[in-house]
Amino acid sequence: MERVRLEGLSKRFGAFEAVQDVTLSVFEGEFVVFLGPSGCGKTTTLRMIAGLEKPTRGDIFIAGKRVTQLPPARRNIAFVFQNYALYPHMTAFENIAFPLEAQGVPREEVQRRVREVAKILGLEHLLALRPAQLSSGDMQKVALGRAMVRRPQVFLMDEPLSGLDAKLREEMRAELKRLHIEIGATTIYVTHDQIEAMSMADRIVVMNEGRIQQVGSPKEVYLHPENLFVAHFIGSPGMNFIPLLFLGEGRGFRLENGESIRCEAMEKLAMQRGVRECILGIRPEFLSIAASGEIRGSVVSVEPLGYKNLYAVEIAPGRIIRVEDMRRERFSGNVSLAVRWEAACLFDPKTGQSIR
Amino acid sequence: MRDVEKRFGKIQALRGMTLEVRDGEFLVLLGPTGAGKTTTLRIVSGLEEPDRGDVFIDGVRMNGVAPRDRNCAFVFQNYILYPHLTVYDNLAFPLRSKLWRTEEGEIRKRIEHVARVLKIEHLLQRKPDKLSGGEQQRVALGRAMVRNPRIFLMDEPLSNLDAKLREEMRVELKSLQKNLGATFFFVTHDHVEAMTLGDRVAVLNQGVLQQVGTPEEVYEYPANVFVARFVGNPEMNFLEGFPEGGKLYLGDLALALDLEKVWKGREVLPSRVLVGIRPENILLGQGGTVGEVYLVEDLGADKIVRLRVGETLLRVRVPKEAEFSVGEKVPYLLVHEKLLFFDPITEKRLG
Repeated sequence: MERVRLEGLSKRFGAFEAVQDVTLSVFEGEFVVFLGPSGCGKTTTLRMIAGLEKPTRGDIFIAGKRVTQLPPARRNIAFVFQNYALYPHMTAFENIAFPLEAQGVPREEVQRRVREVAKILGLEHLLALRPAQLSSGDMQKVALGRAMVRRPQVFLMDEPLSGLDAKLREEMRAELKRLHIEIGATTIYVTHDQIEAMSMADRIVVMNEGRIQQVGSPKEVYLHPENLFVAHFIGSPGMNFIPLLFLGEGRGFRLENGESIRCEAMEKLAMQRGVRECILGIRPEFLSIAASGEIRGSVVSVEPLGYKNLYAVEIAPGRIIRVEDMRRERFSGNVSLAVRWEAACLFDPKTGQSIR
Repeated sequence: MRDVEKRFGKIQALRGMTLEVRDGEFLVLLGPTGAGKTTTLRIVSGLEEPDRGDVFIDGVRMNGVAPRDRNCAFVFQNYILYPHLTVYDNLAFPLRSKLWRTEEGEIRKRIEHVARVLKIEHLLQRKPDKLSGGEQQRVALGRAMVRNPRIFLMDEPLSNLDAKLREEMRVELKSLQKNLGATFFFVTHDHVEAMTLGDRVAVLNQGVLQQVGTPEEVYEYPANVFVARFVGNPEMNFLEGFPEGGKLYLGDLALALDLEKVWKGREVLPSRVLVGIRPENILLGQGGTVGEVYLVEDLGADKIVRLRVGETLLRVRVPKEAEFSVGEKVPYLLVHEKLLFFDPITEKRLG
């Protein structure tokens, strides 16, 4: 069932088009992540859903009801911010209870609901402490608890983990995801961190320059990016781009170094789509250093990650691509790279769109 | 640096710091905030004097020598370019200063060389606000290079760049260092940056050097629990172990392993040990004991499965093709030869 619907949502700040024509449905129980670089419009979109910004155009529906003109308090949403925004003079219990007391919920029910939420979040033993006595991870849990206790239609989260250090962020990421599996609350989550998006989302909405670039499961956006922006932004490092010239079916593609490579399926696709110049997109883990690979190059640097090595390989003057290799030994000098074609993508260099 | 001590008021910033940066080496000093990394760099450059201990550059004792006479170039996190000057004039600036007073012909020669190495020849007449973040970074580096310093001291120079640019700059910086054959002493809190950039990595915590080694050494044979936890993502798994009668009992997992298969060291293990195992050294779908999938995290290139065994959650790295669903029961196997043993009291690695 559709829980949130955005229809042609746009926001302009002066001459700046922060959000342009965003249309999207978020379904009940879904964890949807808005992902993009700073300034892409993801936070503005979230703030419009929350009612903190008024859209210039378009409409917002929550649980089937048009809320575009309603104030935040009447939308039945809960917002979790990056900087917890807890009341410093109140205990964890009082912080979580606050929204219920503001609504005039009877005391016994407040007690019961706060304890219930605290149990889910593992905060039971911390309820008497004030924010200053809590770790940053626990403060964020209290902030979450305060959102959960109201049982809103939708949780809106704006980079809630970005204030935490790397190790804690990793732990909280897992806990948040697990919490979502357990309580199944509809969540719209904003981040610039593609790992967060990949690991937490049911669906990712990739944004850039105010527009949706792609909506899909983590697997879809990772393996089948719709354009060069998504291909580059997702993955660490992002997808490699290799310019090619299509020579014709049966003749293959020419690389920048003048050599040609062959792949029947790709040639067929290029033929069907009438392509000449194109860009081969291939992720580092789908290339490997091989005795007789298809692309020749020389190793520029080796980056050990402990469980694998990441190579930078120059395949034409100034064209450096990244290659993953699980072997412990380090390769240097001239190498050749094997391509796993079934995982390769083709892009149109003029439009940046994927060719399918 | 030899036996360097440094105290700021009540805070002991460095304790008995002894570290050698070799000629032409890319050495990365890695540690959390407050470890003493920046203090170390400042002591090498002469911006701080040690309370005790000695600093040598090219074998010459530097204690008391003014920063300008040490010929170290400092590249900071917030590289500050003069906004009203062109790239060329920014690069020329240190050479034209009173300190160096280089003649213009020589300046031009050096800038041309540096610009060629850094591939910024086409940017020389631009102002900094017309440059991308990466280009600005290169210009800042160039400004350090024109002086032909003996050492480049770099204090988290990539930390202000966005994730994508940081990945690209990593490759650039490393190949640049190799091409220059220069000595880089580089500070970061980011273990991936340390592993990928360093010829060697020195891990620092609370003013005490924990370990110096190649990235592989630090990753595979961490000197202690701190290094084991700090390096690697996700973190190493730690379990309580009890060696007894030829068996290693892992209480958290209710497992008994043959001690001779997992412990190759000569010394007798204490009655209780901490056992560490990296997420990629646990194999799913094999072995006789079973855990329950608690969570699956797709990281793109691979996946992390959190496997619940009793009250313990194991982090397991699996290939991206592997499909597991939450709640599923899966057998798992610890790769015997990859278990690491730590003393639970000193937290040092055994063997």
